[in-house]
Amino acid sequence: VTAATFLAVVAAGAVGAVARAALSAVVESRWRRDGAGTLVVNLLGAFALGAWLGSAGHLDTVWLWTIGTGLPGRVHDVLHVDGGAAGPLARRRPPGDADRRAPHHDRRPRWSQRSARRGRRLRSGGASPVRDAP
Amino acid sequence: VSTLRREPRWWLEVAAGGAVGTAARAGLLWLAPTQPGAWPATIFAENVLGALLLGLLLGRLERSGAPQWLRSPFFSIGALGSFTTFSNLAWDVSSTVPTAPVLAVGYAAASLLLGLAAAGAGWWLGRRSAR
Repeated sequence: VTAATFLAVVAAGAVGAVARAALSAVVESRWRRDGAGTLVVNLLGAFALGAWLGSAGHLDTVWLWTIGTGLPGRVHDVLHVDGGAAGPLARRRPPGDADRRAPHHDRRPRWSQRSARRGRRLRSGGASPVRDAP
Repeated sequence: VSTLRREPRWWLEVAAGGAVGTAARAGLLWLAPTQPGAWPATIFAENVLGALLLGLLLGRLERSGAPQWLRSPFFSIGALGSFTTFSNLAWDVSSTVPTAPVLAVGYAAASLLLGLAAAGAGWWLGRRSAR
């Protein structure tokens, strides 16, 4: 640990403490609830830490992003559709790897996407509404 | 917005306390860093110790005759607020859940329960010491 690093930590701690006290005061002046300021500061801090670590490529999960947004559609995108490619914390994928992209990244017209999906299903031997009809 | 209208000295005391608390926390983490996948013992100890000290301070202030310097925001908002960390707790829990969910849940529960117990014990001790 260098002296410069230590000084940076100390300075950041001072700034953070002032920001925390100010934000807490603003929140409690609006909501008039004891502890509301601390609650907001804690949640915002957790989200900011997760976003920061995630943006540097350290985050393997999308938990904090999920907590941070709370948007069901976005959560669905992040968790299920393409394994996290929609979120800001997603890992980088090789450019041009079209086969691994999620369906919602497909910019073709809907009829073309349906046709492509049907073709893939038939080629893979999966269930087909036409072939498997009674 | 009464807090925002405080005099500059109040904010300076908050900043100084924040610097001291952060330095103490970072120093402990440098001395005993948390290993990936293991119990985050340093953060855990810092949070529980911070809760104990805050309870001690508030218990002491609740009694009459507490010295004026103890009422400074340097200690409560600044130093102890920066010494403890909710964001690191949340980060450790969320990043441990996928690989070791039992550890993550145990860590979160232990932090909360022991933190509450430490704050309560500190408050009791603070009131008792003022007699």
